[in-house]
Amino acid sequence: MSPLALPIAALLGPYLAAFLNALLPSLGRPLLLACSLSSAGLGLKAILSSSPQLLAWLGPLGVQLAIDPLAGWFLLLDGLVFGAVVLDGWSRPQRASQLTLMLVLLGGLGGAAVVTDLISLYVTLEVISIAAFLLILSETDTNLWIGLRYLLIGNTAMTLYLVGAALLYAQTESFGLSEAAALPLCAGHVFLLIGLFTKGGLFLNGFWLPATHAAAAAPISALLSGSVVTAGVIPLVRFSLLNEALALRIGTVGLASALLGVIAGLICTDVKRLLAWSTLSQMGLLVLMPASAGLFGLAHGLAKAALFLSCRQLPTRALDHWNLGHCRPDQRLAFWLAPLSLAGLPPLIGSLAKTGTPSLAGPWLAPPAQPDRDSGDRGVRPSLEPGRNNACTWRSDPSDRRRRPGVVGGSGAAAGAVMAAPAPARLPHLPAVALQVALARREPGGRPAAPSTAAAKTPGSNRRSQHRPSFCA
Amino acid sequence: MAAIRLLELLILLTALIGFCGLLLRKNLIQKVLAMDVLGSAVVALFVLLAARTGLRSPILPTGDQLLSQSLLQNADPIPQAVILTAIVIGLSIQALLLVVISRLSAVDPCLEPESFEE
Repeated sequence: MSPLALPIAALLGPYLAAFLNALLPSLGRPLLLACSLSSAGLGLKAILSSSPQLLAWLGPLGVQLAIDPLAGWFLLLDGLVFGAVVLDGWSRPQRASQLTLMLVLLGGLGGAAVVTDLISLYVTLEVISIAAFLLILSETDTNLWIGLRYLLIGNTAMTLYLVGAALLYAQTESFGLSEAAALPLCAGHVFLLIGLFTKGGLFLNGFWLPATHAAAAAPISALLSGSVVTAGVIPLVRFSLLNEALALRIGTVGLASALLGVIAGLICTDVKRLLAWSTLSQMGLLVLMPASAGLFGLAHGLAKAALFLSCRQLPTRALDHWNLGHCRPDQRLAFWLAPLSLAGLPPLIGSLAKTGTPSLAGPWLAPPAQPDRDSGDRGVRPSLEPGRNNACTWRSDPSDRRRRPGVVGGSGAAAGAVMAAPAPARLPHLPAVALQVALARREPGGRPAAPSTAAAKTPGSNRRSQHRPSFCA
Repeated sequence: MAAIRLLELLILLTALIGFCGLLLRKNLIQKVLAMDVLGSAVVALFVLLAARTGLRSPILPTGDQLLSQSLLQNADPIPQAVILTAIVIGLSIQALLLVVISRLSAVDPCLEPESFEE
């Protein structure tokens, strides 16, 4: 048996399982679970192996797949998210067609993680797009327009992407990602990036994302927000790693996306929409630090999928009536652990993703050729500087400070350290703050928070301004 | 070469027209038709790309003696093969869109997006 048999089986398995599931619907759930386990296993193997595995078909003009650590992280993420969704829905009745679509979606996502040329990427992204569209429509009839919009926008973006691929082919005579990235910046890149920004839900191109992710049913939202959206981001990360000029442009859009997601998240009143805006901002952060994008994507996808799946337990989606009183303790735990992981609390996986991964985990986390590329030219990657952990605790708990002004004195020094830090170093915490603020607007006794967002914020900002002198001192 | 350049400009203009139609038209059917114009322009772009090296269909002749000469005038087969896939995908997506639109027409026969927004 050749060493390539396992990767091929893991990548091809979901499609075969989808056919099998159409014939024998009772096998659907075990098949989906097995496929997600094999995807996660392939991902783990790729992360732990020292050299990337290359599969080439049909000679130099054919298709080449690269199972490298970056792809490994996303394969692991897909496997875990799909496994969680199928286990979550094990006791509920589920239509066989839905499981078939999920299997196709898993196959497409696995393909999107490992492809290395523009056209295979186009095909896998379209497969993902169609499967996700049908999944959105499979739940209820009210989502017709949302699903239609998703497919219309996605297909237009991919058509522009094809224009970009054609323009690049005219110059390089090749559809390879590395050849396209080797060119100096040109019109083809712009079309390509517009398409990928739209698929990855970044900045203004991602405005379709919150409504779509909020309108879908809980398991579908978990799939969309946890792993589907990363399919458009992986090629952007690959471009960033290959080309400095492109990395700068992509990083700028990512930063804008991070800010936009936070600001929009602060003013929205629906919990699923808030989570979707947070996805938009986290995708921005993900392209901002290509060297640790894999672990960051894994941390975000797991936390976001857990949050979307937990949202099903809530009596209402309105944040003004936020109340976890009905939930069991283990469900409440999920509601606390996942946002804390997104915020980067130290023992959780989110903090690993944020605290300079290469130093923590050895050479297999970062691509060996470009260990610190992004920190050099933009200086926005979070680093292990003193005071950063203080920044973390201070940033992730703004509501405490608002409710109990006495705490402010104790954390004053930490806050001062944050204020003194250069502005870009603080930026990665913003989405976490948004989530924390929104989730912590619940008063201690389980009473609903103040009725309107504006009313809830005004007293807080007053108090903050009263204590401003102590920060500066 | 000038002819190819001119054709390329015209094709990109067609793509622009399709894109503008997609943005500016209110009716959903018209939006899908505009998307089709955009897609057709992309197909034409790939065909033009393939024609840069020659106009003959890239099929090997049976006689060996003609091989070296005819290769020079053959069209580039790679963009043609690629766009064949894209045509199929575009067609299936349009079919899906039209199915959903026909179901949406029960809500609003005028098919204006505003009436579907919450």
